[in-house]
Amino acid sequence: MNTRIFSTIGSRLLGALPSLAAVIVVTFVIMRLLPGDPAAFFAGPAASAEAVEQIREQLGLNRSLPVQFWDYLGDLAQGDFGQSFTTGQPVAADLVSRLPASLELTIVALLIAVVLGLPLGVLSATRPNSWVDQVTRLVTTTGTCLPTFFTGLVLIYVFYYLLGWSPAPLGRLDLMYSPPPEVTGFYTIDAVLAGDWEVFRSALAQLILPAVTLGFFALAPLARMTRAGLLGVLSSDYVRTARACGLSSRVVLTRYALKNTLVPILNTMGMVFSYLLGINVLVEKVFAWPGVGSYALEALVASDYAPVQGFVLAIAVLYVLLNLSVDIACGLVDRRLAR
Amino acid sequence: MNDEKPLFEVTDLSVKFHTRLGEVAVLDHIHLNVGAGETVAVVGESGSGKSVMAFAALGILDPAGKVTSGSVRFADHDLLTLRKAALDDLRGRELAMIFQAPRTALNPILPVGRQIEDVLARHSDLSRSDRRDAAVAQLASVKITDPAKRYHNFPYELSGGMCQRVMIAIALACKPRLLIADEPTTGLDVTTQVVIMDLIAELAAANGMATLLITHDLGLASDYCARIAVMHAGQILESASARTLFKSPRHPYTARLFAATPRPGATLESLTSIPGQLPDLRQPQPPCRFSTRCERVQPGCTEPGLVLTPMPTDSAHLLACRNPL
Ligand SMILES: Nc1ncnc2c1ncn2[C@@H]1O[C@H](COP(=O)(O)OP(=O)(O)OP(=O)(O)O)[C@@H](O)[C@H]1O
Ligand SMILES: [Mg+2]
Repeated sequence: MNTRIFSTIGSRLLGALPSLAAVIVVTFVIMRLLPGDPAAFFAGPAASAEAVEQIREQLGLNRSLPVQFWDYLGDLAQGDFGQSFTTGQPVAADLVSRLPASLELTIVALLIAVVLGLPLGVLSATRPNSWVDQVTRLVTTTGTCLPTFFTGLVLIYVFYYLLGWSPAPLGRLDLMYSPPPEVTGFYTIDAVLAGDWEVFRSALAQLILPAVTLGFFALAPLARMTRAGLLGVLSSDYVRTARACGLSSRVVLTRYALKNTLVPILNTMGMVFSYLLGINVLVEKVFAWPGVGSYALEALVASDYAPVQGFVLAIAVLYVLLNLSVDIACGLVDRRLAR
Repeated sequence: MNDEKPLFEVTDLSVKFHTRLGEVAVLDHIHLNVGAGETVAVVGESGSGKSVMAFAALGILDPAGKVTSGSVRFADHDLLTLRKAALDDLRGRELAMIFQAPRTALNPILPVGRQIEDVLARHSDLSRSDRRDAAVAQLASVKITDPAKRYHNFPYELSGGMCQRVMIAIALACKPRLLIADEPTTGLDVTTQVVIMDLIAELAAANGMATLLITHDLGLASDYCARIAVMHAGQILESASARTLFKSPRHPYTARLFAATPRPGATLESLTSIPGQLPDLRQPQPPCRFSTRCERVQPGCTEPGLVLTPMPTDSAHLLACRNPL
C-alpha cells in the first residue's frame, strides 16, 4: 500500500517533467518577445547608447538567443535561477523570502472560502430555492463577475478610508513592528509561536482585507460545486437506501452524501488554489503585499527576465505538487480513484 | 385473507409528480394489503408506478412527488403522517426495502460490511465489536463465501448478484416484519435470479417475514407469491390469489399479461405482446386507464366511478373492470 503510493507519486512527478520543460521554454521565449529592453531600463533614461550597449554586454544579452537559453538551462540545472537586476539579489533567494507572504495570503483566503463556501453550498443544496439558496446564488454570482482588484479597492475604500477599521493597505505588518523571528515565514503563526500578540494582531489586521478579497473570489466556485455535487448525490440511489434504512439525517448527510461529494469539492479546491496563485499578482499589487506576485509584476514592468522566469517556474512546480496532493486526497476518499 | 387487520395496508393512495411538462398523476387511488408473513406480488409493465408506490409508502419519494390522497398503514402506524423520528425507527428495523439496481443502491465509497453496521448502529444497542461480528454473520446468512474478507470490499469490487446479496443482508439485518423487494432480480442473469429469489423466500420463511415483491414478471410472481395484484398506469386492475389469477383472469389486461409471459410448454409464437403503450399520464385519463388499449372497451368504460371491488363469487378476488372476461 505504502510502496504503491510512493511509486504513484514518483511516476506522477516524472510525468510532470515535460510540462515543466514546456513552461521553461515558453516563459523564456515570451519574455524575449515582449517589448522592452532590460539593458535600457537598467541603464536609466539618461544613459548614452554606448552605456546601454556596455550594460547589454555585461548582462550577456548581446549573445544569440539559443546560447542564452543554453546558459539559462545550465544555471537551472545547478539550482541557479539567475540574478534580478532590480533587487540585485539571486532570484531564488528573493522567491524563497517572498513565497511565505504569498502562501499565507492564499491559504488564509482559501480557508475563508472553504469555511463560508462549503456551508453555503450544503445549506442551499439541502434547501433548494430557500432564502439561503437565493443568498448563495447572489454571493456566487457577484463573486464571479467582480474583478478581484476592484473588490480589493472597494474594501480598502470602505474599511480603511470611510470606516477606518482597517490599517493602511501597506504590506504585511504595521511599520511600528518588526517581523517575528522566522519559523514558518507566516507572520501570524510565527507571532503566535513567539508569543507576541501585538505583532499577531497587526499581522492579522493587515491580512484580513486582501484575504477576504481573494476569498470572496474563491468562494463562488466552491459554493457552487458543493451545491451541485451535493444535489446530485442527494438524489442518488444509495442516499435513498440510507433513508429507507432509517439512518438519521446527520449520518445520511455526512457519511452518505457529503463524503461522496468530497471528490468534486477537493478538485475544485485544487483548481481554485491554482487560480488564486495567479490572481495574487494583482491583489498583492493593490495591497502592497510583499509576495512573489508583486515581485514578478515589478520585474515584468522592468523587463527583468530572470525573476519572471523564476516566478513562473516556481508557480508551475507548486501547481504540480498541488494537483498531486489533490489526487492523493481524492484517492483516499474514493478508492476507485487510487488505482 | 382472514378477519384480522393486515400488517401492511395501502388505501386509496394517489401520487402526483410536478414536472416541467406539467403535473403527472402517477398513482391513481391504489389499494393493496399484505398480511403478516404473507407473500404478495405487484405486477405491471415498466413505468406503471410500482416503485413510486413503494417509495411513497416508505417516505422516500423524490421531492417532486406528492401524495395527494390516501394512507399507508403498517402495524399500528400511519406511515404518511408519522413524525420523521418515529418513521426512522420503523424503516430498516420493522420495514425494509431492497432496490431495483443493486450496484447503485449501495454507497460506493463505504465497505459493504460498514453499510450493514450503519443499520445495526441505528437500530440496535450492540457494541462496536458485536456489530462487526453481526455484520459478518449477516453476510454469511445471505450465503456470501468468505464473509470476513468480503466485509472490507467496496461495491465496485463485487458482482451485481453479490451486491444484491449485500443489499438483502442490509435490509434483513434487523429482521424486519415486512420486506418490500423492488425487482430484486432485474439486471441479473437467469441462474442468479433464481438463487436470489430462493434466498429471499428462504429467509422470509425462516423469519416469518411478509414480502411484497414488485416485478414485471408474472411468472416470477406466481412462482413465489401467494397473491398477486396487477398494476397498470398507476391503477390496480385486478388482485387475487396466484392460482385464481392464473386459472381464470377476469381483467383483459391480466389475460394479456399472461399471454405475454413465457411459461413451460409455450412456444415463442404463442407469446403475444400487449397492444399499445402506457398512456401519457400528463393528459386527463378515463376512469380505466387501460381502456384506450383494451379490445373489450365499451361505451360504459368512460363513465366515472370505477372502483376495485370484490367478486360476488370470491371476496378475495378484486376487480376493476366494466366488461370483464
Ligand atoms: N422523479 C420523478 N419525476 C417525474 N416522474 C417520475 C419520477 N419518478 C417516477 N416518475 C414517473 O412515474 C411513473 C412510474 O415510475 P416507476 O419508477 O414507479 O415505474 P415502475 O413501475 O417501477 O417501472 P420499472 O419496472 O421500470 O421500475 C413513470 O411514468 C415515471 O416517469
Ligand atoms: Mg421500478
